[in-house]
Amino acid sequence: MGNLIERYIYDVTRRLPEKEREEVSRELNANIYDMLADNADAADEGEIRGVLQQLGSPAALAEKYRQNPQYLISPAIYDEYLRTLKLVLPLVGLAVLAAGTIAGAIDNLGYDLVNLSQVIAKILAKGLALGISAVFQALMWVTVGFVIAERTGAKPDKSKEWKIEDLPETPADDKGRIPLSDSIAELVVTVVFGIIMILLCSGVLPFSFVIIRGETRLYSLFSPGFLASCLPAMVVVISLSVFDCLVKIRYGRWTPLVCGTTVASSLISTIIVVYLLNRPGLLSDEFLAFIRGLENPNLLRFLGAGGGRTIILLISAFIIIVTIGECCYALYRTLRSRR
Amino acid sequence: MPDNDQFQSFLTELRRGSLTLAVLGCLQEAHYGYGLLQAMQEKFIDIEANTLYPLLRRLESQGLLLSQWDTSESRPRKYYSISEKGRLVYTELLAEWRKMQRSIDSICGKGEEDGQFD
Repeated sequence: MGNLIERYIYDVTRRLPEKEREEVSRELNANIYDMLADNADAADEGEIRGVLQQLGSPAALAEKYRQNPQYLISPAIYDEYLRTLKLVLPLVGLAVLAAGTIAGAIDNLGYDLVNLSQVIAKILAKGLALGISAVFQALMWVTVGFVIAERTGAKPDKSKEWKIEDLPETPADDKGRIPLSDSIAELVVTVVFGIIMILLCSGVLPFSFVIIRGETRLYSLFSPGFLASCLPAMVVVISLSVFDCLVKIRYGRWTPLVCGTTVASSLISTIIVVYLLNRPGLLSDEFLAFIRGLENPNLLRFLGAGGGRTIILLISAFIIIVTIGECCYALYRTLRSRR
Repeated sequence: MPDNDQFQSFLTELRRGSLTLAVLGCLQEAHYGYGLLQAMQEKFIDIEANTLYPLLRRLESQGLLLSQWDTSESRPRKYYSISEKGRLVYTELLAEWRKMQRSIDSICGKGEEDGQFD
């Protein structure tokens, strides 16, 4: 019978923080025995049940004992959280669905194409499976991002006194703001993309191309030397981007510091990537041999003797132009926000 | 009554602040948990055990109450009483409460004017 009381107290205190348990347990115990009228030690089970019934559900009681309400994402930033999810989840889901379908297609090229419908089903299944798991990954990382951002002070400082002068311009004029949702979306995309790149470079996922000439084979597109040098470079590039996103989250505006970080991060990344691309020995021997074996004169002329030199230059130029655009955008936003 | 649940939630909201005031008032002299519950119910304050006990702990952790275990009897009891800080809060809350009461009376009132309730 005393057992019922112990069980009740245990059920309440197990829901409380460690350091509160002993005191609450002791106090609750005293209160319950007080409530059992005078003959507490000889109380029958009916009385005990009555008292416990009066105290109500242990979960509800524990909730009242907890000092601060528990939440993962506070109401103050819940809006931003939802907006980010609406932005990121479809994006990541669709991108990975597409990538997964391609991966599924590559996986299945080795098989007989006799039973076409079965192969298509397999390919779609792979795409869907990857897409769905990516959505859950993104959901998790966005949540983790918001939880960390909120606990490390991305929210407005409450300790400062509110002044009329602090009122922000109305949104149309607040040109310097970087929405939290944008920065977190960027962070999630960077992390997901980064993980894929690192997997590719470390050889877990193969960069591959396919030759169909009676038979199907997978060849590596890039040389092992290139992939090996890519790995540390990718780690640096991704760390820079992540740092940039964190700075944007921390300041939430296009301040000179944020602008400087963005410009520096993208310049350094670009220099690293362009340098790696333009080093000799980019492509694998297998791929070079394959190109030389081609009988298409137009393609050969286009690729040139250097084994795709022109293409590499075009890609490099494209990357540089995008980077310049990005830096100009950052400078433009920063200058505009200073007025 | 249009909607009982809704009414209950208004009532809970209305009571929440006044319960603190009632507890602080009762604890001018020390009480143990269940004793305080009975004392309040005698004065027709409608409070349940599962609201009062957590409230006592919260007020203590906010520094408004002091507590002491009395182990001299067969079963130990935890006695709560108001602290110095609690007394200051209580005095001010009570003044606010009286003011509020006058305002409500003059708005919803039966003709009573300011000052008649002191």
